[in-house]
Amino acid sequence: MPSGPAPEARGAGRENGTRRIDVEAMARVEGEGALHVRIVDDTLEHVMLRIYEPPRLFEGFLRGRYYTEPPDITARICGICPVAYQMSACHALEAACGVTVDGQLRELRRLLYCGEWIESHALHVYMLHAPDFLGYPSGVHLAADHRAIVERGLRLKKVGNDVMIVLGGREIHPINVKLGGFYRLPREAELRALREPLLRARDDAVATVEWVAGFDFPDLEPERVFLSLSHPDEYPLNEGRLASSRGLDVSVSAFEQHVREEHVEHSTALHAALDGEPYMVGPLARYALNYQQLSPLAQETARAAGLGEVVRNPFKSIVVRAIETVYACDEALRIIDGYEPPEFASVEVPPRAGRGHACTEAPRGTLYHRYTINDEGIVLDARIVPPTAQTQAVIEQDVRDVVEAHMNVPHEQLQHLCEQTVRNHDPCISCATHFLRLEVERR
Amino acid sequence: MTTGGASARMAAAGAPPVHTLVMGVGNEDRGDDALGPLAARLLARAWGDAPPPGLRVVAWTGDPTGLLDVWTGVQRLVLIDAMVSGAAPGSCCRYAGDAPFVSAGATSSHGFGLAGALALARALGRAPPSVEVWGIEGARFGAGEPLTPAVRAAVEALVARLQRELAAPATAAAEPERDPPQDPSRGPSRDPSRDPARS
Repeated sequence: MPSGPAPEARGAGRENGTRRIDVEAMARVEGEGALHVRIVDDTLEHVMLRIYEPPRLFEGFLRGRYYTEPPDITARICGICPVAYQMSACHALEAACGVTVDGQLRELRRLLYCGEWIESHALHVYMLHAPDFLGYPSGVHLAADHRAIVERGLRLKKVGNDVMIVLGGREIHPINVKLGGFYRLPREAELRALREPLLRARDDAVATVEWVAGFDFPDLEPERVFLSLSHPDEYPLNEGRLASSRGLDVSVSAFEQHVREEHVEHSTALHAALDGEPYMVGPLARYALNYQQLSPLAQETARAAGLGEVVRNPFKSIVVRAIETVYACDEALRIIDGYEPPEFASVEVPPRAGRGHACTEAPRGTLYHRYTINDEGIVLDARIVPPTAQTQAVIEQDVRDVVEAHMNVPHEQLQHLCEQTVRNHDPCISCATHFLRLEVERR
Repeated sequence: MTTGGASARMAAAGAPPVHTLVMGVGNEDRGDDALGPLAARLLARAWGDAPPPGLRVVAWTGDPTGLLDVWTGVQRLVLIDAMVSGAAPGSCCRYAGDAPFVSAGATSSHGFGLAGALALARALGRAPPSVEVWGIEGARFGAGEPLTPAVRAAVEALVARLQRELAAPATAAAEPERDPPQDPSRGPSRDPSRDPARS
């Protein structure tokens, strides 16, 4: 919950010339992990984003399960982006079985994903990230002074939840998704009932962009390698090719040829590199690689907010997240307005021996799944690469840049900047494993 | 009785006004964290089709930010949740008013816990005028673990008690059953790892 860590959880001070900040638990970041920063004689010695707690066991216990199970099992990895897990699992397993889901079922999946983007982005923008820029320790403190603004954020989030309820059966860990489509199709009246709230949400999202674009952003324009899905006809959610700012343009089945994950000593999560380089996924990457696919309103809102077609300042990710929320509302309305009920709620996905790969765009970035199944539909092996694991090395680079640029600011302020820098990426460390502690040590 | 984020919220629309809302909160798949939803179900079953007028029972397993909408218009909110205070498993405690209701989930983010929802409702002026929290000490919270027998017994005792008390006209918030824990950080808490909004 987004309130600041208890005072006793923080330690700060100088001992024998060592300046040190410990934050036992870092607020407003999902999962458990630790950030350790050591500064010696005003020189940054190292930055380590340590991620501990048990490594994900999901890849292990998916083996031997029936091929229809991974969408619901992997949805449990995260309560915030379960749709991403369900979608990546469905697409990968359907690819293994040689089935493509298209037409209105594809559109409904996109609509469900829009719901997840709206609720996840709204929560991050209003309750987790905005307090950083406005000097509040939490969203609750922000709410006390800015009720109307926080009510707007909650209203926006609720519309995202409502879309998930209509399509997914409930807003956390939806239960209506299956291989080939859905268990139950939404009634047309249920979809129509979402229209007015979505129109209001779109206005709220535009107002959100205007609000966050007025924040003060630290000056930082690092050159990072971006990776996201890219699709010729649409802003990427469920499918596309893998594209990077280095010119990569390959099928998602080539993901593991380009992305290598390595164990690093200080973390139980894996660090990923794209063709040997640190890279980032998420809103900034998607936006830069797919600006042309944004809806006219989303583009216009971005221009009005002073954004170019590429945004490199990680602190401005809050603005891009808000623009993606405008897009998600727009896209949801487009799908609802064009909806024609399909004949069946799902298509058949008979098992066959094979391997399937998929990437979809979770709110915080590209989520890769790969499954191998046998003729009976038993999962022989599974691979999951969550977005935060991919961006982890860039988060460390960002913290390094921020510390070097602010070496002389007061200790408390530096600590806050480090926390904020991590939050820029909306890391879901529970996907990559679990919870964040922050230590800034100065000698 | 209604369950969880989706149906509870949708059922709220058009339903008769709710004076007293009894809400059991928790993740049914995380050991003793299931005690809140279980208590709500038992209470609803005990009343069958005839709950006291103006009273509604909800087992909440959904998104905590959605709680604010369900609480709207409610005069008296009775929450039942798992507690981690160091007491013996099954110990039961009632907090009223500004209880030392601290969320261990202060360190979480996306997992926006019950305490967070309550604090947010208060900040927005949307909290029910009367809030009381019943905490039952849990012992285990692992994925798929069963309820501890002592916790199950405590839930049944609490349900019997609430059934009696809530059938009577609403009274002023009662005094705590026993002294609340001295260390506020060890009050009824919601460990982020058992937050319903998280895996």
